[in-house]
Amino acid sequence: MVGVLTSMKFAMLRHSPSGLRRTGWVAGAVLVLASWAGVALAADDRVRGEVLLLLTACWAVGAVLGPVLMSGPGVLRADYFTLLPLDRSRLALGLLAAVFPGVASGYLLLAGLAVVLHAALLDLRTVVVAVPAALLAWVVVLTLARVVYAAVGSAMRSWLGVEVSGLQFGLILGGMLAGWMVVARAVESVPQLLTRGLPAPALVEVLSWAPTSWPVLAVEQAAAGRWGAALGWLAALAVLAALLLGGAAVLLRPHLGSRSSRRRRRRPLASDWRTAWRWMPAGALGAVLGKELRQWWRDPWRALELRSSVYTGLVTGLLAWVSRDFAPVAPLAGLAVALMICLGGCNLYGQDGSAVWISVVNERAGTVRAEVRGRQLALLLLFAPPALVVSVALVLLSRAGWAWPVLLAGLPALFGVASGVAVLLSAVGVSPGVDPRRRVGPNDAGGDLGLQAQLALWGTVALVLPTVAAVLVGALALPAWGPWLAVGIGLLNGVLGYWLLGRAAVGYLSGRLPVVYTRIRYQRLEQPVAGTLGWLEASSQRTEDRAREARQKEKEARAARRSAQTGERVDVG
Amino acid sequence: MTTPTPPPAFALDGLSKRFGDKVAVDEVTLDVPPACLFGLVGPNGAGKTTALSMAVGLLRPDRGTARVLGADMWTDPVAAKRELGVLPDGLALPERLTGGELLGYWGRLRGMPVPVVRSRTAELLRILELDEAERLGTTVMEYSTGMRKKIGLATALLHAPRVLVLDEPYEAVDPVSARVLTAILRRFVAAGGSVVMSSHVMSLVEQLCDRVAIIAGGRVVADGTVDEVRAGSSLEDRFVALVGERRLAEEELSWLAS
Repeated sequence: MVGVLTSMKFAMLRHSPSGLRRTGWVAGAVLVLASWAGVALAADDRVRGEVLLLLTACWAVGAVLGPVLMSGPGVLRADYFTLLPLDRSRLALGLLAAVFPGVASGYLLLAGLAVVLHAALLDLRTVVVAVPAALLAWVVVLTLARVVYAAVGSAMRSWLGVEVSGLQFGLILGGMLAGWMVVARAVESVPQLLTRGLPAPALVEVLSWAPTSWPVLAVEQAAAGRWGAALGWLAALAVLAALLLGGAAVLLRPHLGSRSSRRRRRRPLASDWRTAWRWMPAGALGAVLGKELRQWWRDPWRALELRSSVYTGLVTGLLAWVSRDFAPVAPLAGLAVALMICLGGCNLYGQDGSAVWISVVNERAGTVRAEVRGRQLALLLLFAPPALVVSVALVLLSRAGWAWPVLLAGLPALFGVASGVAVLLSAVGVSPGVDPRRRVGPNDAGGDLGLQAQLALWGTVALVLPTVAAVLVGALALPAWGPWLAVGIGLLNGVLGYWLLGRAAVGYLSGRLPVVYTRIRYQRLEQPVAGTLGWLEASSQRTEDRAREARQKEKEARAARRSAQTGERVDVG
Repeated sequence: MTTPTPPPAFALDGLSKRFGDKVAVDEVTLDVPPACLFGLVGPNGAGKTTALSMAVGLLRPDRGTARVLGADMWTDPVAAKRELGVLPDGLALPERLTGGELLGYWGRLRGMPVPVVRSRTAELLRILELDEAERLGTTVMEYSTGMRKKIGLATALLHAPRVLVLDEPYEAVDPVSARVLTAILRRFVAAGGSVVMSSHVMSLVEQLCDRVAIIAGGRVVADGTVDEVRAGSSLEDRFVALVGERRLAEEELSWLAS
């Protein structure tokens, strides 16, 4: 069974986008080489040991986070096999065994084997300890990664899964926004790391508790002649590996029962229909606002957008804060949360899927306006509080009183403009993704949103430039109270952005709700408009068409390959 | 024939739609008089759903018109949609709302007074046996296929329309609920309302509907009262005769249960 499962896994990997896969291979190879180079270049035995502690820990973190982020290709889910007449425990073991062969796991093993170099340099005899230790650590890390994926990765089903994925996306986006500040500092400190080892003894202490460090400890004990202790570490690794394998065998069994038949433990928040709409404005606006707030709160895909926005701001601020050189940016992290509105909300119609039919068949005068304004208001109500909390927390943390007027000008400007940009792009650049009922992975709620994301980001930045200019002029050219003048400009900027962009969306959607429905349901753009919005409409539709054609072509190419090599196994490479 | 009272409840005239090279709906013309239960039958992919989508304002036709109580769906959509209730097949809903919340959303979107929405919601949930799910806080996402049909039907009825367009209303609905649904539709028609429903179940259409149209390959191949269309045989025989039959040859699937 392991053989069948493994070839199934490789088949799924073959069907994932090949560009992404090749990038992964190159990046992995570079990281393995860098790891070995780090070990080889370390100044002395102690430093080499510490470098290894850090490297193996980093590889383990990567291995655990990787599958959740890449979600989908190459991960066999136990549920695929529920209907087959297979023993559940044997299936779990088969699934577990299928985790080990693979390119990524190969890199992980190669990186872990760097400890053999350490052993050879210490005392050639200790290599007999290093090799089994590295192998056991590899089993531990891979099994742990698979268990984490099984627990968290079925992901979008549990509150915890959404929270963890949100944090991961926050780390990635925050890392992209502010990571270079820390990387700049880390790169500066690489020579120091290689000559003097880890800066804090406490860090060494903490790292040595991690199982990834045990091979290093085993080798070092053996080199010091304490072979008993070395065997002790090996035994500890073996016991841990056995425990994890046992746990995985239980966790990976296909679970019975589906989403629909599972009994709820508690009612969703504010879901008593008799009182539910009490606080909403009357009429269609209240209808849309109430529906949007609930969907944002309860739909894991929307919750993920919200969470990752908050974490992005938080991570950006904290990274800037610890980088020291860029600490002045830290109190402005709340602005990053507000900016994220334009990304998190740029595909609202796509996320709803074909549900837009409800607005089409219930259309009255004012329905479109309620559609747009209700969605904008929901974005503001959900994103503004965390943006404010993050702002206040980081201003207080970094004791930067000067940031108050900047935030008071920047936040309203961004709230207004970003919510307007989001709803306009949602309407014009709709990208449906997977039908809401069939979504599984965190990226299922939309198609290729590259263009929309770029436009949202740069559009929002461009449209808050008046506020940026006002803040700069106030700070540079005017006396101490200068920046406070910008607060008025920021408010006006925000109100105008909210109102004008929303009005553009209303104008576009008036009489065109069926067009949006047709794009979602039939992937066809009918009655295209002219002008800038027309360009965006056509471009986003082209992206969808191209993606569909590419999928079709890949399918045909695969079919052709298969028929050309009937009976032969395709080389995976 | 029912007495001709202008205008017809629902009138399609020459509706046509192409998707690329494929003609999905070809010159579909149908008249549904007031107080009539109209059945639309046809094989899978015949164009029933596409025709109905164009008729209720979801998909713009290439040619032809659709009118609800005289109002043109595509030139005066607000008037045409005022008296129309729609149950589409297989479309998404706001999946994370409970059934009761969905009805509340629907009613407010329609601009109905809140107390009316509230009392009708309670009644519809009770009659369609969705009240227990509501008590547990079950969201539409967690509903079974039959429950989705029923909540869809509740939304279509909530604003007390005069014309109902129902795509496969009986699909996956249990026999008890199906009886309730039949009673609702009969009472609705008796009070002067009109229903257009598509279905695959010939016996149901035969037993329930006043008039029936058969669609195949995007065209109306038969249209009239049930007796006119079945022309002495059963509706199913007539349907198969018009649409074409796929017989199982002796040697095909011979391994099955051998």
